[in-house]
Amino acid sequence: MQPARGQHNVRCNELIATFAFKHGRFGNSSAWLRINDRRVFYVYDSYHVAPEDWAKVLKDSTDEAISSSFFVALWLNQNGGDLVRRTDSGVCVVHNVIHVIVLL
Amino acid sequence: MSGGAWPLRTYPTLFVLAFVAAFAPFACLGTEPSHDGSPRVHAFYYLWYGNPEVDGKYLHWDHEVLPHWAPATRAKFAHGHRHDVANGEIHSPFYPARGLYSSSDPQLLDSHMQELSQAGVGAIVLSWWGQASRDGTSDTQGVQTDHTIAHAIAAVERAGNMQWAVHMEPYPGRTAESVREDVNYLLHR
Repeated sequence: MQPARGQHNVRCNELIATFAFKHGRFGNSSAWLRINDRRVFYVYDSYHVAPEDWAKVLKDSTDEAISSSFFVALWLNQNGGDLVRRTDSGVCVVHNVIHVIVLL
Repeated sequence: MSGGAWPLRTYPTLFVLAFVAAFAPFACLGTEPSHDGSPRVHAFYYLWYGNPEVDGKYLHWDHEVLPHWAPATRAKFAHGHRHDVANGEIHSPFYPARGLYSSSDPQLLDSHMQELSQAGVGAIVLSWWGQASRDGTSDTQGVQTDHTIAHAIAAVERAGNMQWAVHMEPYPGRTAESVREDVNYLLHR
């Protein structure tokens, strides 16, 4: 590809973006469970990480992988719901997160 | 609640979960024709069994007897010795109908997926302990789920009527940032 003069950096950035966001075999699997068109990840023992730390990562709309994923947190103890709510409405609104497994 | 970001309201019954031991025979199933699994029923599936034919040795079937978590109970029972597979003693409350299988055996995976589908399961949640390149992501038996998960995903795809998701397990040193790396890794793998 021959970029026009002055276009070089733009072109490079486009190419980097193209390759960086190209999904592999897993990412392209049409059988990956989706909720709201986002790939689902259950996160076991998620309460070991502070809600603020989760919020910082999970609200990052510049990360295409994160913003196209749906995370299910683990609600294990009585106060787990408080933790989930703090994540949702505390430091920031986390739009693509976080909900709850009730362990049987 | 801001932004309507509370999917439990949107999906009030989504999180009806079925916990299905990978080795449990569905003896209670009738012979009625099966139907496609429901997306509301998710089964958690572990990938850590191995046998000499496929893996060169037993994995997990001969796991050592773990100590009970309560000290008083722990003191009452011997622990630490390996299960004696040759004498039919395995690390499982049930003896698997398919024998001591390997989680990396495609035919075995296909037959499990068929049973899960017939039981009404719509999504298989695959236990994954992190990227193989990280320290501490193999279990005490040497099982690396970053390798075995590829077989399971392929089996779910072959089944054709179920979906899969990742169960991100808490490997040593896991942080929100390392999970970000893991999500990117899995999508691009």
